[in-house]
Amino acid sequence: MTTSVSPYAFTAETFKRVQPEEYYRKILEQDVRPDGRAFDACRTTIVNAGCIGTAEGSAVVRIGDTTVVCGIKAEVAEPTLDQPQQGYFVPNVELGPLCSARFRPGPPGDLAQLVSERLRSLLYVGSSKVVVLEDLCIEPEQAVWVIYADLTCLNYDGNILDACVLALSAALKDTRIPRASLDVDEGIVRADEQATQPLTLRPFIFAATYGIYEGRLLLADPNASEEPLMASQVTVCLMEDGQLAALWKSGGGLCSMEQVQQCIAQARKRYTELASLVSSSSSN
Amino acid sequence: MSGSSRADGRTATQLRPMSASQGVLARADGAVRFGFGDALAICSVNGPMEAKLKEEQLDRATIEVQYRPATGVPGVRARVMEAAIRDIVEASVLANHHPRTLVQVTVQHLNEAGSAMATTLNAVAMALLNAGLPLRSMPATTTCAITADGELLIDPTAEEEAVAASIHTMAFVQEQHQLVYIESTGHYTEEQLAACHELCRAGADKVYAFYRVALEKKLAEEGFVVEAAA
Amino acid sequence: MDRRRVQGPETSVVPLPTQEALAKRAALPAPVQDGKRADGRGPEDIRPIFLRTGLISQASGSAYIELGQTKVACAVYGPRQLKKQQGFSEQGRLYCEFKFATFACKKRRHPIRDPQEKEFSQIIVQALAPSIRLDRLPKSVIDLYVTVIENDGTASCLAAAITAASVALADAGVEMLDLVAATSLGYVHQQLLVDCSAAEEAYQQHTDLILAYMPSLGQVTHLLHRGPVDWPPMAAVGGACCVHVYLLLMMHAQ
Repeated sequence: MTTSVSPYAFTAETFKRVQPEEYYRKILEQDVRPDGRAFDACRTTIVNAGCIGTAEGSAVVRIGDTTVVCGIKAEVAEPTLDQPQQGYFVPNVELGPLCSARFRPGPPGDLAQLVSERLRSLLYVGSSKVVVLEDLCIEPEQAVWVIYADLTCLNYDGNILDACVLALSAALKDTRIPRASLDVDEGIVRADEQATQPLTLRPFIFAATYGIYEGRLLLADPNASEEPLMASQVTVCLMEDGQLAALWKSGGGLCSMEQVQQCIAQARKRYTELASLVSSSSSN
Repeated sequence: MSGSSRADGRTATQLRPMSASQGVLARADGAVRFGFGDALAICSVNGPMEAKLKEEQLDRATIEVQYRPATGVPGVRARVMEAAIRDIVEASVLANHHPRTLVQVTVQHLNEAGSAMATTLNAVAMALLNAGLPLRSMPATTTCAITADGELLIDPTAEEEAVAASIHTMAFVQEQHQLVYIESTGHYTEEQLAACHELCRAGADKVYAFYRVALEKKLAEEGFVVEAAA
Repeated sequence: MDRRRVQGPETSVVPLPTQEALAKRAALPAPVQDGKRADGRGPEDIRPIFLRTGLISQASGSAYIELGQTKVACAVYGPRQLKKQQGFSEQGRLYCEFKFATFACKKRRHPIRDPQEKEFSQIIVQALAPSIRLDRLPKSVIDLYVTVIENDGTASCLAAAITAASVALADAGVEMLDLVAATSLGYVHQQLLVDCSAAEEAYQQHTDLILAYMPSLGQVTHLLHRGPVDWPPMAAVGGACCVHVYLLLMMHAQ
């Protein structure tokens, strides 16, 4: 054996590119993940709220390299006929070509639409509403607030759903909308930007995602290179009172109810971590 | 539990009567109209067929999914439906038996009357079988809702869903009742989730039984002799 | 109707300010008082710059810049092969997509790019193309994506975007003649102000100028100018500011 590196040598980098699945399996056999994390470890998470002056509320979230900015804008519109007392909440996720080479310019792709809809469904089913829509009413049947929550991804490295839920939660907590009233004579809404008030929010929701590798290993917070190797993923959304707000299992792989329960147990630990991050993140 | 606590006279654990017409579209390789009562969806499956060069995958069949709601144009909710359909197809079709081909799955919702996801996914499972694709399993899906007073109702109607505190949809494969898909939103405890899991699993068993009866009937019509299950 | 996004109401508007706020807004103080601007700067000072490269790990090169409250992220992908349908090109091509995040401005932006954003994309391409050795990149395209996260002065956003894009190109290892440093200048009430904030842009009779400059070569790559200005001092101050920005970039590189 010689010590010099032959040009035909099979380096780790080549191995990873040619046989990603085998590469990953070989590393996992040593009870560690390629980026050095333990199976149940999440990437370093940073929350920075209130950093955008032009938005009514904002937050920047980083989970490892995945970076999401959430900005909240409030505007006024007429309520719908069947819900004259309710405002609107419109969450949209933008996964543009800026954040990764996998996204093309143009309208939102399938993944962005999926995450947007998941965020929306956190609001609309049952009593777990993130924002109390009745509190967005300025004048019944005349004017209500529309809360636009736009999430822009700046760097895509997997687990976008967790990052979006976290950014949305932190930004909503940071949001202050001006006190508004309807001028009946003129028929226009005037807002006093000096007198702002926070939104009435229901208990906060945080998400934790777990990949299930080969139907047996639970891997917390999978990154972009791990995600395609996971046959299924489980996302648990928890609320402050310890109850669940949502649970999604996706991917063509199979999992048992015990594995789902393990995910919920792990998510509870992650929840306390995230809740303290958000409460300490506000700038005001 | 009281005899008929629900508006349509069902008990809490009773599914709406299931219906299925197999081979309803002459030009598709497989097509099934499946329904829970009024909730109806039709699914057509084509393939394995030639894939476009840029869609071709070397080791497996490419799966193309399209979902259209009963009314209006497909919006973001349709993307969630398509993702779920894809999960079901990937869990059941032996995609690596047909490399470099395309399997096309198209679902048209005919009438939305609650449990939309379960209706769709069951139609997909039956259509895959109807198309004669080699399958490793046939996932069965049921939805259950928890009312504001904490009562569990299987296979909720649209009216029941509108006032529910949480809605849970789960898809199972028959072996050991492993889960393929879960979508569960609302506000609920872990115990309630476990109860929903039990209820949905029992419901899924009824859906399997229905699959079996429907298939036996169709085979008998085509002149095959079906031996009784052991 | 955009069916790829979660739908809100058909139309929504920003509420009008109260009468008192409107009255207060009408009585604006002079932009410069005792040689100081509202934020304490002198007329010819630019705001503090914060610059980081490589924050977007998925991109070939990236830069994030803050100019006071103005925040701009920029990513470079490529050079990559030109697609067949884009035709043959002996020279490399530069493609830019400039976007304000919906929450970046005082009024909410639509998620679809508007004509102003398309125009800004073109300006960035024109400002940067002379600095890149595109002749060395036949049949290739460099994609440049710029997102403004916060807008505190539209002209300053464009200047920051040009500077950040140039740094991102260097970060991606694209062969260049020089870095392009850009600044914005405004004339408010016959007073020359460098790097105007959004509040200063709101003054009436505002004119502005954006200068993109390659200081080592002493060449201007782009000049955008609107309204009457006193040219000689404007050019001198603009050039000096670009050199200032350039020196900051050089310090960052070390």
